[in-house]
Amino acid sequence: MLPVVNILGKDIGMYGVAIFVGLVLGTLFAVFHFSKYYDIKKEDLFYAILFGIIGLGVGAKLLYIITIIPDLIQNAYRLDLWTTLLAIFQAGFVFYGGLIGGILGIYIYSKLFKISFKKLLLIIIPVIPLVHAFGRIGCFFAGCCHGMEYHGFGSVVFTNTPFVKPELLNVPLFPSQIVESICNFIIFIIILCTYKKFKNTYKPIALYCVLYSIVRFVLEFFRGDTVRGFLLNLSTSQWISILLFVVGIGIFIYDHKQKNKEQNT
Amino acid sequence: MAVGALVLGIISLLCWFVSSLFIPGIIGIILGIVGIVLAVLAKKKQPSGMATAGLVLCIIGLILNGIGVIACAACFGASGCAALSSL
Repeated sequence: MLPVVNILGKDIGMYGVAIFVGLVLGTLFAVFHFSKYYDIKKEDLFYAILFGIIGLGVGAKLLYIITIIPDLIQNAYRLDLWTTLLAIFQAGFVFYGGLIGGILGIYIYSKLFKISFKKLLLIIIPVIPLVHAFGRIGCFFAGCCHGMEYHGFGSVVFTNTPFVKPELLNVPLFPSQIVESICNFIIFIIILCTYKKFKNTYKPIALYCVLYSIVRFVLEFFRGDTVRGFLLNLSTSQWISILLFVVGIGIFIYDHKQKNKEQNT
Repeated sequence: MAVGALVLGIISLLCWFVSSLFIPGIIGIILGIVGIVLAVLAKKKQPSGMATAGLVLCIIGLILNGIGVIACAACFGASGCAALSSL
């Protein structure tokens, strides 16, 4: 579509622009909306988000490097340093790695400055689907994370992008990025509408885990991009989605038990 | 720490101004990240104008270098695998 635009002689990656817009909006929502429900300083929240963003980038990249280690070892004899660096750093992030890294970043901040980790999580996690929705719009601009061949309503054709396999260029594809982006927006709106009702509970987090894992699990069947790890006919992301779904249900049950315990006492 | 953050923020920004090439961009991102951590630590310890300036510069440096360098993310290694397989 439009992976890069040139402004004043500088190449600007549209993915970066989209994720930047998402991060700014997400931060604004967290700092000025979700924080209203908890007693936490806006400054602390902002710093925790910064730590979370750093953790997100590092985690997503680390998990990506782990996934390409076999490829790197296999191709080691014909790789020069420059190509290896390019393959490692320029592209390829794993969302689930970012999620874990981001949470770890927030945890480190909460421990360093003795701030409630629970409150930080309850404020920051609801904005993840919003940021992710913009990230997927970025994927659409770049042409990555595309769908399988599809000739129905809303199909998209990529004509010139390095992220689509040559045999799939000029072929109608399923708009997996746009569908996932819309689903993420819907998840965000659901969390936004139910947030007040679920105040002081882990339910917004559980809701995100359950809804996103279902969306991702289903959409993985329609993906047609690149080499994906497969185990027992399911992709790596589908296995992680199953895990995330179980975690989400576990949080719901834990929260319910906690509520019952509080009512009994 | 505040001075360190300020210096790293300036270098990070310079990395973007000097060139839109890959290596300066990566250096700018790493310096931006380290600078942000230093600036936050400095601001929590003893808030100062220098720490704030360092934090702002590091954030701007990280954003500009990030946008310049990262072509595609959040996908399961699409382009990296493509880069490897196209060798």
